[in-house]
Amino acid sequence: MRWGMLIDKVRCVQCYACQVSCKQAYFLPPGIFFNRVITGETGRFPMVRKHTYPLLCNHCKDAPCVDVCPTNASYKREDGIVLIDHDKCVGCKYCIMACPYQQRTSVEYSEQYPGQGYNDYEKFGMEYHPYQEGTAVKCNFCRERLDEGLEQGLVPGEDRAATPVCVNACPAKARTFGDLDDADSKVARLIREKNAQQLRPEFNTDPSVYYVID
Amino acid sequence: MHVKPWEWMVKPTPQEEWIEGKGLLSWLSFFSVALGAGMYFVATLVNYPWAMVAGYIVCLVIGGGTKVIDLGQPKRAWRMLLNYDGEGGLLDAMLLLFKSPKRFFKMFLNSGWRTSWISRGMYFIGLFAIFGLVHIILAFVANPAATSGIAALTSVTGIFAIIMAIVSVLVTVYAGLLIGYVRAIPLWGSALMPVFFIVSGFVGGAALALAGRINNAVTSAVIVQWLQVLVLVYVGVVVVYLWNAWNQSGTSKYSVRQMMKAGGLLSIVFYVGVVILGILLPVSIVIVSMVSAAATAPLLAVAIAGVIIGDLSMRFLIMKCGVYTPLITTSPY
Amino acid sequence: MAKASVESEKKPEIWEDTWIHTCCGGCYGTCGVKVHRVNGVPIAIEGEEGSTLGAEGGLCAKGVSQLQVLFDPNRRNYPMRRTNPKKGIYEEGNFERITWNEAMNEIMPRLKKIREEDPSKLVWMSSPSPNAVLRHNILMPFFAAYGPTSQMGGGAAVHCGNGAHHVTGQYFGAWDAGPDWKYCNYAMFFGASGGFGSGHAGTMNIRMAAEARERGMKMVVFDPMCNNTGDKATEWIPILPGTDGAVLISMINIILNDLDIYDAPYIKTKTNGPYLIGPDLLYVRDPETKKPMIWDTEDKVAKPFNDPSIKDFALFGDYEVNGVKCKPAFELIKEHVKSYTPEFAEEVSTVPAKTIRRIAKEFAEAAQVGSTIMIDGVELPYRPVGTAIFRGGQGHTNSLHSVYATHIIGQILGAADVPGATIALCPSRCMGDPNTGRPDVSCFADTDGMLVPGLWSTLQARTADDYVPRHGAPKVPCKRTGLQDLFTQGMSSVFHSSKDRHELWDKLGVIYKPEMLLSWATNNVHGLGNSETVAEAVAEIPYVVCWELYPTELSEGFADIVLPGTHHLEHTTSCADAYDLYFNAPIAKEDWTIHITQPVIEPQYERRFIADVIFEWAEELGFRDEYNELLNMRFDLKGKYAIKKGEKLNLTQVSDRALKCNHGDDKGMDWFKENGFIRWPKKPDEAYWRPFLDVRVPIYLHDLARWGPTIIELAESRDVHADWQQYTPFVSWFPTPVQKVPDDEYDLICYSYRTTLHTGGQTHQIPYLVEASQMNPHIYNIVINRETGKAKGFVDGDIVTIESNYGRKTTGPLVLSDCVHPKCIGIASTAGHWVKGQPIAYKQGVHFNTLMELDLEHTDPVCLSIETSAKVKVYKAGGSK
Repeated sequence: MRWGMLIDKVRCVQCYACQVSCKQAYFLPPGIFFNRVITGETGRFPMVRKHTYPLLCNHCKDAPCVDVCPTNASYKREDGIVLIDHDKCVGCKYCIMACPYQQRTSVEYSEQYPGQGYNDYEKFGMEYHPYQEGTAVKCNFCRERLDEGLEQGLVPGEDRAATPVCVNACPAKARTFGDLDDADSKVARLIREKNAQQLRPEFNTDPSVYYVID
Repeated sequence: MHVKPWEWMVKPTPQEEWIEGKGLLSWLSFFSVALGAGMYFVATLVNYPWAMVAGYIVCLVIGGGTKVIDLGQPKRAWRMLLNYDGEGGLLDAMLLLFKSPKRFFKMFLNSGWRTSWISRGMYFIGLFAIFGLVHIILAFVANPAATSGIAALTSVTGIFAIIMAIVSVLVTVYAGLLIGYVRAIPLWGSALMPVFFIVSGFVGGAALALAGRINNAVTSAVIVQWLQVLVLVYVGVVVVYLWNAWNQSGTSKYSVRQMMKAGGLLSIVFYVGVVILGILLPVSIVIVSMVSAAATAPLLAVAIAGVIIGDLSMRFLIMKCGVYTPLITTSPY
Repeated sequence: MAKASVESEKKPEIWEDTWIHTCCGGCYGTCGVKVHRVNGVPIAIEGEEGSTLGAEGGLCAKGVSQLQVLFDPNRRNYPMRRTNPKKGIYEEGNFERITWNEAMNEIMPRLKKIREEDPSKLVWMSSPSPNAVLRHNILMPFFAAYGPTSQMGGGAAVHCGNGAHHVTGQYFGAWDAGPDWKYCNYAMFFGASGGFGSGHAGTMNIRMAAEARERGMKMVVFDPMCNNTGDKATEWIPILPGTDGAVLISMINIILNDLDIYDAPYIKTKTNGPYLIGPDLLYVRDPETKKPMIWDTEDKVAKPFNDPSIKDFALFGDYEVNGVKCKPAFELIKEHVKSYTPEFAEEVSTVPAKTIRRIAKEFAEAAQVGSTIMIDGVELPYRPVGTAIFRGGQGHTNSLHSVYATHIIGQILGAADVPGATIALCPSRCMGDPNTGRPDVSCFADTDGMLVPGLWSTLQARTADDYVPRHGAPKVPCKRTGLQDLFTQGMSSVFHSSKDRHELWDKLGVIYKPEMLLSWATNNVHGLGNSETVAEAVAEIPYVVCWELYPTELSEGFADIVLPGTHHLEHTTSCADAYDLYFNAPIAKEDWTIHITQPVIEPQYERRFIADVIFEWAEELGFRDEYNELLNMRFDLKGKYAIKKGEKLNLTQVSDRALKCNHGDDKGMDWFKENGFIRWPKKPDEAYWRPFLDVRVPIYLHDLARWGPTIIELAESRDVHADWQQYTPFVSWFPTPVQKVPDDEYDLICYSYRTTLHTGGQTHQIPYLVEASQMNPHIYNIVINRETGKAKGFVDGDIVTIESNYGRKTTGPLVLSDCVHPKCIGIASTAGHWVKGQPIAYKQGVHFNTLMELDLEHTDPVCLSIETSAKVKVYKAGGSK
């Protein structure tokens, strides 16, 4: 079993639903993202092309962030998810350096409304989903939802409650989630059918996130 | 170098964690650790205990201290050496020696040592700290009169000297391997990075270690010889390193261009710090020393200062100009 | 902070974990959502899975981030009274807290006095978003009962809808129209972002558009910028703002005259193409029945258009009927468009003639005129081509004709409300819940056979004698400050705030002595047009009351009283009555779903729901019963569900009755609160109603011929002049004032564009959206073509000033991009707040609206859209960001 995701850039409309719903689900402070949408352009007028990439941790099979972690805080689960044990993270930021996709951040709290204190939502988040400042954070493929869902017999990628929030949130249905090792899973089939590609193959990290580019 | 939020991963994006704000401590740490260990190494070779002490302090206190302060969770620094899965902290981990010796030793074996250069570095520094302390004491107590530590190799001091020589090398080079492992940043991910760190660590270390003996008529000639070689080697390594970065990839070339671009802090640091003070000045003094014998103490001091400032500047630029290749190439960079 | 790690299982004790069904109000799309509330704190919003009014559980960022509004410390929490005696654009109110009683003690006597003296002294305005239901269902009836008040307005409608809604109402019986995503093969977009941004049925369109793209639908986007829509286009074609009509009409020319492709049977039976037109450009009418006449080519005689004995309709030929020489309208149109050559269109729009020819051919061939398709066992015409035009394309002084052109190109191919074609985006026909048959609404034909929307009433049915527009026949003197009594084809107007308002009012006899302004969630000082102009208009009103969520440029600058309103997540409304369907509903064959909104959190502090207060006001002003009657009409409450005389219900109770009336006694508000929405299948003849209803659309713009001369004569007699040539029954293109400005000094056209992250001005106060906006180069920066910018010596980050040929200025940081037409410079809309009471929005982005001139010259003389572009020059303001 290896959890993975397909992101279809043809379907994506750059609405930032993934970025914002993830921030909301994880009570992320300002400036901290698990999902980001970046946009750029190539070519010259009028043959210009815009490119939008929703980005998140690729949960690489060969993850440099796991290798470089001095405390074994970063580790890879058997099902392929790369996780961080925040009780062990010492905040050296080496993993942040080493990630070829720049998906890790050192978490710090700051007010959503600067100078106006933390509001009830932020305070709730600090208690319900607290962060240890100075440690590294990143997308965890909504590990809690996956695990709880599996316990209840749900199928991640098919049942919403067991599926990552960003996948559920996308109005264009640009994201598919499932077991990459299951050739019959929707995500595996789509990757093959659409000739989806991984980002930055030159780093040989074998990401679990694939993109339909065209 | 800072990119706007919408340019993140669309233009070459610099790393910031190890150079911006509190990240400056990481720059100082990498510099000081290598410099201090280099100092210690050279001081050991020439049996200069006070320089050993200075190197020890620079490496552990300044280098190690700044690194620990820069950590997000400094109180957990011990976890870089031990992979402890249980409840509680360091004390509980240590008590495992009595509760479960097998688990206790596994903590070391399964630590980040296996894959992480930071963890390895911590072990090297740990060895440096422990053996270094003993060695310094021995160096002061056991053989204060010898002019060369090599002569004492058969003694206990000598054994510690050999150990510390090896450990110093490891401490000097580990940060280069650490940074060189980051292929995500083309300027860093080069086999030349550990070479740079070793050479610059020793050059700077030697320069500082020998600085205390500038006024000594006997040793200043030796210093001059050392510096002639080391400075030229260092300059060669820097030039090769930058040349390699220029040609290795578009992104690393961009990094070097940023250093050299006219205007701004980076080019001041490059041209004044690296080129003038770090290369031209020491090289000039070395040439003067080769052509004539007028290598006076003040000149040597200037050369040494130049080397240190140049090394500091070069490392600053490496940290500052370390950029990630953009995912979307908006325009040629 | 708790010490539990993110990965650990230790969580605080949970005593509540529930999901609440409601609707989104982040834009006017009102997608179905559900909100996750834990321990009394709403913590997440998702789309409503299982509802078709949305994206099957997906939801855009605007919707997701609405929770932040609930916790924003900058919300208005109490009624406030101004203490700063000075009013002005950049003033701050320095408000002091008062009680609701104190506020009412100030407002109510004024309302009573004005009502007794002259209701037109009361001015009011509201915004369609969020929750259009409130304006149409609660506020409009209130003011109808109050008396003939005056109106002001914000950016909505005058920017986006006057042309678009007018034409889609006439052509589709709907508030908006767009491609039938499921079956369309070829779509053309003109300054529209439905399916790629917000808009009616926002995320539903996003979902369906994504599927269409994946299926291989070709989409050609005409836009000055490769924005959200252009980004996803098969082909982005840069075009100058305001020139879409020229390109479209030249395409119509190519299709009709070069390719000779058109759907004759459709034109004969579904348009006024066969109607005979006399030399006066009006229908030739049957003297007895007054019906427009057609020529029966088989019986060789003229007949009223709806004569059951008609065998075939002539589309060509010269005829004489009752001594009047006449021709079928279609032939006149075909002849008229010949002057719109692709070369002419290229000259005005910069779209190459070759491209225009190619696209026209592709579009016409893709229409597959004459083909059919089976859907649910019903054979339907199949025309898989669609067009869309909205804010950008219709926001010009040639608005109405541009929109007509966008839809005539489909009409001539029979591509309207059939599978694959342009269809009603908001429904034209609903045959009701199978259990009750309600709501049962449909467009219908007027006495001339022309389509009249059943669901909303911009256009009234014609009388037996004559077509009477919405506001009656044109007349002067005008009573309305918006002058719609004269400009009867217009919907919203800007003349209440334009810089020539006094001159126009004096000439047209408007007596305007405003005493009080009531504003609901409308920030006209920021959002309407040039701020100084609007501010002057507001300053003329001595007493201003603003009902809002946040401080705004309007309230801080001008309000005497501020009332704290509830957010859509804090109150209950019904989206169940028929008049809400007109704004947002599942399109095409998507199942019907009807939602409600309910609070996810009780309003905090002293925030109050508008409806509650309005109902109280109606009571206190003494017209509660009359108001109730109007609510009965609005909500279509019949029988036992009707509000009786003397009943004092709140909106939840009214909505409960409306829901039960429409869906059965067991499906009132309680049921909806529990279940969230009701869903039932849509029939093919609801989705693709065109073949089933005997209605026609005016491809010959007869209204303009009929009423134009009257309007022109009345206006000219009062020395009011406008671009009267637009009152022509032939779809045409007219240059905008922007196009008439020479290029020497003011060499660029500045326009604004929509982004997916923002709708209206309020989204800029939401931290998640602002963060995301900062990660996009085109939201908070001014965007100029790369080569144009380089030629002017600009680099990324330069702070520049944009100055219009009227001296209006705005300043901001610049980025160079290849996504912009070389002669254009773009600014993302709705940004550039300067009110300090919105600290997140403060100074984010650039204020575009102030460049827009507000006067008759910059107004479409027919539908009253305003010109949303400006001719400008740009120069460095100094500094770099």
